[in-house]
Amino acid sequence: MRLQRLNLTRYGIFTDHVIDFGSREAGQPDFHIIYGLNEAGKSTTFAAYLDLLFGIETRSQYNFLHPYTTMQVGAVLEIADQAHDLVRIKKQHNDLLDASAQPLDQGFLAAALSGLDRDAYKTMLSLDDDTLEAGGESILASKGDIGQLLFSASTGLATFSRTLSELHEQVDGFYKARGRNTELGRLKAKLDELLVEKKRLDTQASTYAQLVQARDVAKHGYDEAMELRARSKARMDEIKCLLDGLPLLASFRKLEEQLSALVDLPEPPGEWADDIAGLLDNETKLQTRLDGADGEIRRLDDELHDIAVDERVIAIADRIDRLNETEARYRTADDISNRQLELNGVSTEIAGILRRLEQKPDADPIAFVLPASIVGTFQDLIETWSGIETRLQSAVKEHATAQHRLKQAQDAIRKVARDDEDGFDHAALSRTIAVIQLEDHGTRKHLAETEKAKLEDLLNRHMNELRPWQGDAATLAQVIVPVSAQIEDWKRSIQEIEKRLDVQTSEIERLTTECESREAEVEAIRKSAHVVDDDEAGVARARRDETWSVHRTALDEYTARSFEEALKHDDQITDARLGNAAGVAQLRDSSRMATIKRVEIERATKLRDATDDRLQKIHQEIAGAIRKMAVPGTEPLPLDTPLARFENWLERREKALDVLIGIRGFDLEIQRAKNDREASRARLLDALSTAGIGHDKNARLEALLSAAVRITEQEKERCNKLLKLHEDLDACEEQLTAREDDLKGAGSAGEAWKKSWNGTIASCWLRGSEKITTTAEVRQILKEVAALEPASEKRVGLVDRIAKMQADKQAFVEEVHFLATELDEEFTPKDPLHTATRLRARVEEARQNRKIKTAKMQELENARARRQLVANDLVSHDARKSQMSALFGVTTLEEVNEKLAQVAQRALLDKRKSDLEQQIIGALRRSSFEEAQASLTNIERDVLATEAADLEGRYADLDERTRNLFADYSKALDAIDGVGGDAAPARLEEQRQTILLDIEEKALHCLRLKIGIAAAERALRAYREKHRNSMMIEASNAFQTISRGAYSSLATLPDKDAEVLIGLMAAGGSKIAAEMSKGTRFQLYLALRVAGYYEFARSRQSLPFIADDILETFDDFRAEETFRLFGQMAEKGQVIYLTHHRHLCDIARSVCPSVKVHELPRPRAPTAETVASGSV
Amino acid sequence: MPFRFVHTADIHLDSPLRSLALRNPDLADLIGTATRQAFVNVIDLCLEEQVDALMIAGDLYDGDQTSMKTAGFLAAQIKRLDEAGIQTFIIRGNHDALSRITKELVLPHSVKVFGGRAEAITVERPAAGFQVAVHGISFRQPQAPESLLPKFGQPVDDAVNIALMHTSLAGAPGHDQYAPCKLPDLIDSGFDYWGLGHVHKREVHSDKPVVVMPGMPQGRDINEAGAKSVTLVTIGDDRKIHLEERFTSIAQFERVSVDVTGAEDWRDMVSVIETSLAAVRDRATSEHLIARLSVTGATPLAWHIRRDSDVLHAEATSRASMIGSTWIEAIEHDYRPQMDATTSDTGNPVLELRELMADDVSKAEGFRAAATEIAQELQSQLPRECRHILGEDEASFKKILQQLIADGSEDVLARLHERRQDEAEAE
Repeated sequence: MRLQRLNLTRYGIFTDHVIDFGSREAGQPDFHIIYGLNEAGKSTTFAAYLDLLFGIETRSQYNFLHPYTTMQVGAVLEIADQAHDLVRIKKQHNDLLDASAQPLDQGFLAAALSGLDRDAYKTMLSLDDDTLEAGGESILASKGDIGQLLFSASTGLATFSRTLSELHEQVDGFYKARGRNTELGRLKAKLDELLVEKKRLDTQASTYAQLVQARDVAKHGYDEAMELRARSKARMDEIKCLLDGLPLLASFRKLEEQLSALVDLPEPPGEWADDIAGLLDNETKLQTRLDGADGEIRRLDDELHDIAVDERVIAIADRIDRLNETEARYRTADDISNRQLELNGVSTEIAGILRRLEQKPDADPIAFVLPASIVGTFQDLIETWSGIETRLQSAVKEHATAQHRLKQAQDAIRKVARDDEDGFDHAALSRTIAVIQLEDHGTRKHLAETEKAKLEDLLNRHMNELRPWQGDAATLAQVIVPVSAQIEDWKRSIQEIEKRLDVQTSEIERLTTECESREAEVEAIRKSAHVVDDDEAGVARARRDETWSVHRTALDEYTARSFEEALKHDDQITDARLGNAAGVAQLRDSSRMATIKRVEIERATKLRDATDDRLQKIHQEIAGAIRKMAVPGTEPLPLDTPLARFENWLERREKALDVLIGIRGFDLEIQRAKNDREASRARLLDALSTAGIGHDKNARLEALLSAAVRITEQEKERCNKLLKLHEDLDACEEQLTAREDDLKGAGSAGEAWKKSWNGTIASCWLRGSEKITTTAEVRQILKEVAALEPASEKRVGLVDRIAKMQADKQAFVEEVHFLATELDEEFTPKDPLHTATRLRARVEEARQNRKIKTAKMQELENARARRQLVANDLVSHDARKSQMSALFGVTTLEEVNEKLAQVAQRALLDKRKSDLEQQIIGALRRSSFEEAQASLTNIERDVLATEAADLEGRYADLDERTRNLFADYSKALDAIDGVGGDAAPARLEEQRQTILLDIEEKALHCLRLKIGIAAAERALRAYREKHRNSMMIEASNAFQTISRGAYSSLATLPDKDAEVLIGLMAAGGSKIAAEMSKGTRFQLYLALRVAGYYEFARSRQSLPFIADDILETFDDFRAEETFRLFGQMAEKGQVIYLTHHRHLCDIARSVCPSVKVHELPRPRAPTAETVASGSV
Repeated sequence: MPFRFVHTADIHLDSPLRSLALRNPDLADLIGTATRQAFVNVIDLCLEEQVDALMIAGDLYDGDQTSMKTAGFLAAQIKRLDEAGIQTFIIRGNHDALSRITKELVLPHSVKVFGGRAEAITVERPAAGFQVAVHGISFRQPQAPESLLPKFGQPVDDAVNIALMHTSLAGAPGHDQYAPCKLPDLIDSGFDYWGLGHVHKREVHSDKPVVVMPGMPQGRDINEAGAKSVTLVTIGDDRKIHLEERFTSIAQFERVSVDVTGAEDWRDMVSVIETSLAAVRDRATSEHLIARLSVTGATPLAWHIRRDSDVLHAEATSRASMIGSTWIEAIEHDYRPQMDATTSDTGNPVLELRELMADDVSKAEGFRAAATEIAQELQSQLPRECRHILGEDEASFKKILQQLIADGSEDVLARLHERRQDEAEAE
């Protein structure tokens, strides 16, 4: 089989790409190289080829551009020297079609492929880097075993030896002779474990029977022992009761004896026993208290008799008490002489003051006292006088100073003033300067120039973007362009037409599919049911008629026979058609439908062509518009510029024109600024002339302006100075006027003061004393008068006080004298104070005695009342005492007490007796005391004690025994209950069974593999025997070629039970395949594969061999040799080599000049479209 | 008043299930005590239906069953019946003829275990319209080469006569006979109901008189496939006998045959398996379904299945668990590779290798000797219970070896094929 042409119709990145290998040229190697860059689709090409042969894969990865439904790959294959045009589409069935789109049976290709399936083809007839690498590895892994090497070379299954060794490992994992830690070993161990565990948990029936027997024996023994034990216990209890009862009975008898002595005592009321102690105590207490009360009464009577009270003194005690006040005043009168001396001093002081006032010493001082109003007036006048005097002096002085200043100011003005003060108008010049300084023509000009430069740059850019159109901006403005409405119109039309085109195209596709399926249907019906269609039937009928007419004319044997044949044939057809009327109808129907679809396809195609024409027309219109734009001398736009791009160009043109208008505006602005500057300069020259200032008429505006400003500033400074001097002069004049007014005011104030002073002197006793003129004199007189009034008042007070003191002294003496006489006391007038003290002492003593007497009287009264109470208690006590002593026939309370104690003793004994009775009944466990008493008679204590000791020993033994027997019994019971009915042993058994099954399954699996491996190894050896000779020769030759003669040939060497491959080196010596270098191993593998190819081609028809860039690791020389090998292989059959190395193509050409190189289109970069649109 | 009873046999209490599916510990937990659980179901059924009696026609245990735990469990269950006033009639079959464990048990008075001599027990029915007599005889020995029918006494006059017998009936050629007897003899014997035991598959042999082989209440391996049951019998006041089959098995074994012809790829095939499993699951009455898959048909996936049978097992198990309560025991392969062209004269060396293995190698005497050695070596290492897998005698050993050689060759070739698949998938 040979590949003549590969149609990559819709597959992967390809659309309608064709690789044409052409026919084989006689005598030339059929060697092809497909060259393409990375991503150009080399692998895709290979996959497409395989898909063509074996069907597109269910989950193909080459549907990214063309979906599954549209994927298609085709080829022209030469099979047995005949070309077949085949198409493969992606479908479940009928996916292989012939040139007329009729389905073909896959078997058609299978025969041509000698039964290879896809994988076999790939592994046997293709090579790539990875398989080469794996092949090299396999040489190592096979340890040079020739069976495996030849097999892997002819099949491409390089990893077979690895597979076998992996399987070996897998099998050994389960079981290996003398192997430790195998899975089988582990499983067996687990089985044993489970068995042990099961035995541990389980209880067998025989064991169970033993358990039951043990239980019954234990129960019997236990029951017997228990009975014995109970009997011993009962007797022991009885003996203990009897022994306990004996001492109790003895105590009982003793009590009875004691009670008999107390039988005769009377029975007193119960409360007596409680009362007797109180009565005994009371008797003594009452007698003692009576004696005490009598003694106290006697003592108080004696004390009262001894107290006396002085009643006379008490009667006048109040008057004596009042002496205390008058005595104090008497003592004060001793001060009289001191007061007399003080009076004399004051009289002398008053006489002195009158003398200094130039008056008589004995005159009434009050007459010279001045009223307060006059004193105030004088003091006021004295104070104001000094101020008036000072004011007058300073007014005179300041008046003179002001006159002097006025004169100085007048002189200064005369120095600065000028003659022509109203000469020229500086103000006009200043205004002109100010106006000029405010103008901005300079700035305006600068700004406009900057903006203009920017716009010019922009314009240049825009102009560049208009390429390929070339010309200046002015020309651009003149270009005639279509209006935008026109553009929009075109756009809309194109869009609409393209949409319609899409619809129509898909309609055509749909119809085509339907049509094809109808046709396929027709074919299928025809094949399946042998239905003869109308055409064929028509042909048969025509044939019959024709032969008939011939026969009618000839009527010989020959024509008769041919007519008969035709007639039969026609009848058969008619019969068949009648027999299969439904099929015929369906056939007709499908044929009719197919025809209709064909017509529809034609109609649809016409419609689409018409639409396409419309589109072309619009494109022509656009070209016309572009042509109109041409301007002589410029580079025009291409006529086939796409509309979008054309529209874009127009937009850019608009932008460029907008910028041009901007530039022109700025030119105008620059000119206006220049004009304004010239006007300003003319005005300034005019102003300077008017002001009469000298200047250079041709000077620049800035120089003129600077000179003018300097002049106006100097003049302004002088004017300011003169103005200030005039202001100073005005101030001096005003001040002089003010000083003159001050002077007048001070004079009139002095006059007014004098008038007031004289008036005041005249209004008091000083009038007529003309010699008094100064304020100092009056101030001294006022001082003296002020001292006169207090001295006079003091003198009057002293005289009055002395008189009152003398009267008090006399009154005290008289009172003391009167009281002393009343109480017969001695009185000394010289010392009344002594007498007064004595009187007071007598009063105090009398009062004290009276108080003591009263207290004692009250005490006596109380003592008498207490005595009466005690006497009453004693009477009732005696009554109770006689009652008690009468009952017992005794006299004293002490005797009564003794009798009562005996009664209590008897009651106590009675109680103990009855308690003992109960105790004895209880101890002996009898129902009555009498019964208990009876059981104790005739008892011998010693005999009982002996019996008890004996029983105790036996009981201990029995107790121990029952306990042991019970433990045995309950253990036996537990053992039986413990058996239970749980499923644990059953579960363990089930686990064992599962493991056994597991072992069985795994053992069989292991055996299958072991035996299979052994079979495979033997088969490999057989394979080697079959193929070794022819393959060894080919491989040896190829290896010599590739190794460029370094190895002369390949040979085999027996090694244990195998045979290994060795390379014989040209320089002598040999190397086992497994020991060759990595690169050499690749070459060896390649050589083996080449041999495999020949082996294959020898017995079957050749198939194309495809290698995918396997020469990466080869140097150029070896690559050359490899191509030489391929060239040789290409003499047998087609060889295709895929590469992205350009230099390899050249090497191949040098080795094999007839090689055909097919170049795949460059891969489309993913960003290609966006880059293109961005650069317009 | 009708007389009602449950008739069962071949309970084989605590006899282990034999299935590779039990390698899954979850499943082992769930159905580990299936024979017990099924027996509990039988007792529950008796209590729910308030029957008068439970009849067990032999083989309560396996013969070598000597665990008192099994007996303990049985006693506990029988006690439930006793407490509910339900009588139990038991005969011994070939398996439990000599069973010691029943002897050791003290069973309530309501239980009648028939001895080696035929007896007839009249059921006390104070308020009933008719009498019921139960006849039975136990195996004395594990073998009973002769019919037990002649040992039965005469049916009781006027009573409804029920007879319990453990028998293989006419039996099958090549199998041991257990108390063989002919169906017509039973039919003519004058008894109204023959409650048989021994055959594990249920069958109603006759309607009048009624002859019932009830089958076992719980299957133990794939050879006891299908839902298992007991027979609920009602004898009406008119003495008409009505039968109902009541399912008792916890788990049932089923062979599930899956035809994968036409499955395009692995996924398709797994889906077909799932669909088949789901269909069987729908029909199954037991709580758990243990399926043995048998993959049949011609498929291009043949190599793949052979090579990745473990993967297929895992996927099938996963699908089964999605279906719910469904478990895969094993997958049997009965498919054949789909070949487009004839195997002779092709250019495919793997096929050439296969031919060499099939025609030259496997027929060579030397190779057969080597294979025999391999097989025997491994056999000697297996636990005693497993050695039968290589045949009980030389003839069967040879046959098995032949199969191993054929299968082993295919297995290894499939692995070789695997390389190609992997290489193809890697691209």
